[in-house]
Amino acid sequence: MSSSLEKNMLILRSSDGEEFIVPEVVAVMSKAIKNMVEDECASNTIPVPNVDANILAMVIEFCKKHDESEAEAASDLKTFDSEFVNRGQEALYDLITAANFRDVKELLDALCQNVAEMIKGKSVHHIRIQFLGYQLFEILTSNFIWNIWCDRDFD
Amino acid sequence: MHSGGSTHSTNPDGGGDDGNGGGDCRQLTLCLTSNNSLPSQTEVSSGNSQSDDQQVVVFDLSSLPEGLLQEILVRLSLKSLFSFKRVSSEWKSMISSRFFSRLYASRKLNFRIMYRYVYVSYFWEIVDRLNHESHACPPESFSVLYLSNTREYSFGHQFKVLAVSKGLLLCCMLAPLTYYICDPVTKEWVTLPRPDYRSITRRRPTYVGEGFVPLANEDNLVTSYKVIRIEWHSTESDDLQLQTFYSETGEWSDYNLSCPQRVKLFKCGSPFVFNGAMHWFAYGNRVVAFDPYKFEGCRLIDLPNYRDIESENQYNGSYRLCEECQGKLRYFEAAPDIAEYICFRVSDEDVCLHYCVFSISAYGDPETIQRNFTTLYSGCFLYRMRRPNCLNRNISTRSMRPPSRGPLPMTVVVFDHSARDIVCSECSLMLESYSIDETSEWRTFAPDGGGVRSFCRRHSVLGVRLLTDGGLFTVFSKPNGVISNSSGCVSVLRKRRI
Repeated sequence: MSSSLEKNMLILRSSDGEEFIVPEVVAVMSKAIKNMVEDECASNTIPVPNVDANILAMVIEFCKKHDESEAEAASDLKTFDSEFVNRGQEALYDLITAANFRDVKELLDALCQNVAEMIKGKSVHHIRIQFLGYQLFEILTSNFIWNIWCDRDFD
Repeated sequence: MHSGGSTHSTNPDGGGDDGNGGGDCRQLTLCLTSNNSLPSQTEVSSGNSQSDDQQVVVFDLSSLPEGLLQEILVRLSLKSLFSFKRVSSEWKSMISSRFFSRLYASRKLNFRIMYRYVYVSYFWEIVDRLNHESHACPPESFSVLYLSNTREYSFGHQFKVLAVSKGLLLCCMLAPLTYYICDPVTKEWVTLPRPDYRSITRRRPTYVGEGFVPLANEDNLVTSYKVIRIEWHSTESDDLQLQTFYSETGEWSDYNLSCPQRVKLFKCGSPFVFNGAMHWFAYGNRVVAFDPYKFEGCRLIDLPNYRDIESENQYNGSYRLCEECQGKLRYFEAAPDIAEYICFRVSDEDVCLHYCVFSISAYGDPETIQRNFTTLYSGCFLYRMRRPNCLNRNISTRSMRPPSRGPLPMTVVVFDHSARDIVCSECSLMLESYSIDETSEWRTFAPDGGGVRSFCRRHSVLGVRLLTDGGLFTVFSKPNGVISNSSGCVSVLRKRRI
């Protein structure tokens, strides 16, 4: 590594030990890392605890794309975001906590919007079962009366 | 005794009605609907309930930290939020929390409260609901006083909302007459000082037409406002006496406004604010416009003459509502043939309402203004009254009364521009979905029968249930307060009279 490269590159180490070399401009899209860099408390290698290699790779990909495409059309970025979020569907939970923990605003925005769209327009019943993991019998026993009252229509 | 309303003189539970609104409120949904819209709604909801049986956890929200959950929920529409209060007690307390409503309000600047009507018998009921948690940081540019405690106001009897602008309310309490500016989202109150009367010896003048003009900065935050009221004369005059209150100085001041012609103002009906100026309706199909920040004198603007001027004069302007919305002047008036009652006949019958949208171009040029009223949409369409079936008592003749019979029912309606929904903020009842506020959409409807019908179909009312507690925003009524949709706005004009 040349010294000029080193100057602008940071090494991020995921929780399972894998290391990623990323440009500093990309890394500082995470507010948490930015703070560390600004405070100069980080050496070349920045540990990213709680985030494993897969997730970190995805986060970095997202940040890179956003960094590069600043000048590009916003619609391109939007399609990239939606594709990215779709690909990250299985790891959504990890991604969203990583984005929250590392404070990557753009990623958090995209992911939260995604989740919001998932739950938008769903019935309360739906939310309870599909998003909060309620079992049917729980609902029936604990909230039975309440549910009947709630889900009544006015017609 | 219902004056003149022979067709509606049946009052099934009239024994309980003491005629002064003493604690009896009724709920009433006024729906803009047509027959063919209802089945589709039912289909949608039944489709949802079938898919509820899937026991698959799509995404586990329960393990997310609360901050993240709020981040997600804050992106939802008001309608979803209101209904999601039922999901669990945690969600309910989170959505109802002050922090969350501030977060929501700070993100979504594009909603505003259009109309707010209050119908409670005692002022302390409102104060009880509003005065706690009033310790938020006030905006720096003007001082905020809070309602101090319930006892102080427990002798007040009537409470009215006079004007709504930029999310703020101008309310007043009668006996003694006190004005308040209230932000219902943050629940902050400003009590205006009592205005001085110029002379004690003179008979006290009647002030009408209270309104206020807020100034907002680029972040849509109101930095200052002026409250204006106008002395009412029973005869025509070319000299209008105003009293204005300016939030920067904190004082009322008198102002003599000379008119180019002799005018007589309507006693009923509130003024509207358009383009930063107050507009009062005057006899002779015109409005008096006055910009309180410029003090340039007033201007008379003639209104389009295809309005129903005759019945406006006959009923003293009571059937009319005019409001700016998205740069356009929207104008309601009730048709005269249904006018035997003050607003609408509250029954299962259809009610006819005229609706016009005016667009004024080149407002600043007084020469051309008369020709520049163009009607974007006008027509009359049918409103149908519906009642939630949780009320099994017949409310039809109770809640709407002739003007002499005390207050009319009022409620708060939040207009969510992003979702184009109109939501009752008391109960989260969805009053209108897909409400029209896009200019292009206005123009697509021809004012013929077919246009009106499709218009009505788009305005089908969702049967979203009532919540038992208050909405995301202020609760301003008893739990069984009366709900009406924007067409009920016509009725509120009656309330704005002192």
